[in-house]
Amino acid sequence: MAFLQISEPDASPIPHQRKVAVGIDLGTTHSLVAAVRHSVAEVLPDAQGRALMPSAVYYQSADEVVVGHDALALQESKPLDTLVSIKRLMGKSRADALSTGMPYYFEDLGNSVAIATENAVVTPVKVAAQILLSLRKRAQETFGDDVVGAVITVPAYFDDAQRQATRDAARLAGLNVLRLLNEPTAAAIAYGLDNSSEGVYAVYDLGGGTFDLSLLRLTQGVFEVIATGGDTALGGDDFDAAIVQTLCQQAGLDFSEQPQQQRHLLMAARRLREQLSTDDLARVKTGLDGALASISMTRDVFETLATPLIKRSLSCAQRALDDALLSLAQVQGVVMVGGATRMPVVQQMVKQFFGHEPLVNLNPDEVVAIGAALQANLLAGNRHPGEDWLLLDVTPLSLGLETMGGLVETIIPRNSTIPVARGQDFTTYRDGQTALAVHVVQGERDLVSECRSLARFELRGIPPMVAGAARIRVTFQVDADGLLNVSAQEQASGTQAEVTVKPSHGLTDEQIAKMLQDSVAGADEDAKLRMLREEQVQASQLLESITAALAQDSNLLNADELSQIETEMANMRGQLETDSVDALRAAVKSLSACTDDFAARRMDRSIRQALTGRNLNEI
Amino acid sequence: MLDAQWKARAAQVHPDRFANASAPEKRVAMQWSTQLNEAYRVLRDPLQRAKYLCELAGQDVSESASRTLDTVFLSQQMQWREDLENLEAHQDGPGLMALMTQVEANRAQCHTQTSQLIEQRHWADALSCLNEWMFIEKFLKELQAVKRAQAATE
Repeated sequence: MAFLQISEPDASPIPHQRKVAVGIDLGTTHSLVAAVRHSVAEVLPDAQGRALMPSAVYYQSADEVVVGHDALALQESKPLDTLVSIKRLMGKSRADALSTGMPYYFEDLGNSVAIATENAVVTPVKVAAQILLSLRKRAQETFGDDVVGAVITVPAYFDDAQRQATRDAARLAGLNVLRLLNEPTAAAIAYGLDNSSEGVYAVYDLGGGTFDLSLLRLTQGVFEVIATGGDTALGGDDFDAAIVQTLCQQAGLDFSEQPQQQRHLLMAARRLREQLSTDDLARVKTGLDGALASISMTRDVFETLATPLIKRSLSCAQRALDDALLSLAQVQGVVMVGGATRMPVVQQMVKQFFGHEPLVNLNPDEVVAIGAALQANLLAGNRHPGEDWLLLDVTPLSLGLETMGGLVETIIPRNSTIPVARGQDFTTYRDGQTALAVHVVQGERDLVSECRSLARFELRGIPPMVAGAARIRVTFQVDADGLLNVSAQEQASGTQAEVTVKPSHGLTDEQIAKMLQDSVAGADEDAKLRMLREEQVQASQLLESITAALAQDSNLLNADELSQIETEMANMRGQLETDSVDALRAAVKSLSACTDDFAARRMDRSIRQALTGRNLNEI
Repeated sequence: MLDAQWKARAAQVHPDRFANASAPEKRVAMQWSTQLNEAYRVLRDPLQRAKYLCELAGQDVSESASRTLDTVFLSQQMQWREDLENLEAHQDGPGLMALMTQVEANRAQCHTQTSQLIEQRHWADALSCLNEWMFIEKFLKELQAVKRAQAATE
């Protein structure tokens, strides 16, 4: 996806001027889009002035959707076809989906899941893409032009499959993902920059469907995540479910097989819970007949129900503290994020645990999107002088490999600062063996069966040798988005072993490309024009950055290299006016490829310069 | 000091600094950051750092490398293991704490000795001291696991 450059209205279109980048909080119950406008990060409301968009999608047909408030309005009448809390299904299999207790009809789709609604069979990735698309359009309408990129937030405790699925959804929605950002880290940015705090802070993030806890050290513009913990299946929804379960038990009724009634009850339970945040006794109508036509509860009873769920969250917090080798006394403050932290009982128990009054001065629904917008603005290169910060985040879960007997060997431990890479050597078991299979898993348990399967790799093309002679180095790289990549090489012979990556979840690049193509195929010429325009902008940007690089560092190149780059640049200039996306793309690719080495040398030089004059002991 | 250096370097090479750059620049930024994070991980941990210094001097620090074994330390190892088994069997919390304190003192001693030996470039002695240190580190992990298990049953 290309970068589009946006000029300020009434300003001359100078390259590298302000670029609109947005932060998107893709939430379980609702989603938001925010951006920095006039130096202030703010949530972008819709035409009716509403900031929150319910994360709800209804399919009228395979291509026609209703998203947000209008979809939510359909939920009570069409509970099986109005898709809500879809975030809980991201990167999940059918078995996982069934265990959520969600009322939809799930279909098996290899390692992932599809949902059959009355008008369309859809995947969670596609549904999430519709939500993102709707937010992208909102931003477009606000700014009168397209956005150049987006920072999308994910729960810190999301595993690789869930992150991949989120990124796939963003790509399907035509968004250029600048970074996947962990939700508590985003909140810390919003808070940290507001209060210019220093020291160790905890971020307690209880959303609609997920819980995260991150411990961060803030020092002079650096946000260093020390440890993170959480539960991707614990959120406000669970408190509602607990209310419904208790009331049904008391009434001797069971609606678990009647999704429509169950949905009415869950929605009533949420209203009840929200009322109990201010009142000691609440009563709401459910829209059902009979004993449960209206439901009521006292705050005391609700708090008894809520306590075990909150305790679960606090035991995650304790583990994160243990991982960080920190005691409670070292935590200087705790920040509350997520709508569910409005419950007084949550604030009370968190206060008791940390011994600090929790910080609640920013809107808990908006703080993640605000932080994401600030980060997006920084990444897009819009920062003002003096306004700068750095994020150092960690992997939430350990990455490991299956070894003999179904046991897990940890390769990258949880809470490693990303990006991180680790190598592991493998050897062959039999004489003349030319291939071996590797199974990558993520999780903290000792048994493979209790961890999440991420991918199975086959290493082929190993030169035949006696058993145990081959040395195959498999390298696991986790990038700044928290996403895993794997490469392999046979050390003894230097043969690059072929790696066949079969994602256990998520989509392959080809699948994404095809889905994008499918969505473009039937569509109008506009889409094609847009693609061409994006390529053109990217091409000119590449030309510009290489020209600047040559002006500064052309002495890193010999005459041949220089003339080759110049030829490629001339070739690309010739293609700029073409109307063939493919030709332009090929030229960009070829020019990037021949400047690859140059870019590496320039980075080397800048680092060497930075390190000159310091000896090892000092570092 | 190390911490400040790490953060200052990270500020220069982190992929976030290259979010708008070309694909090769992004890749190089990721590689540099990865290396930097690895360097920080190794250098901030005294044992890893000592191992690294020995490796830099061309020494083989792998545990499988044959090395002259100090019989005094071997018997010490066996004594500790025996003590741990007894303490575990008797659920002896205070005894466990005492053993931990003792082993931690030995670790501190190993730390000082190894760094001196490395400075004096007495590699053979440094390696055997490092070997003891590695054992102690592992043994401390076991002790912590037992302590956690005891705490959980209380």
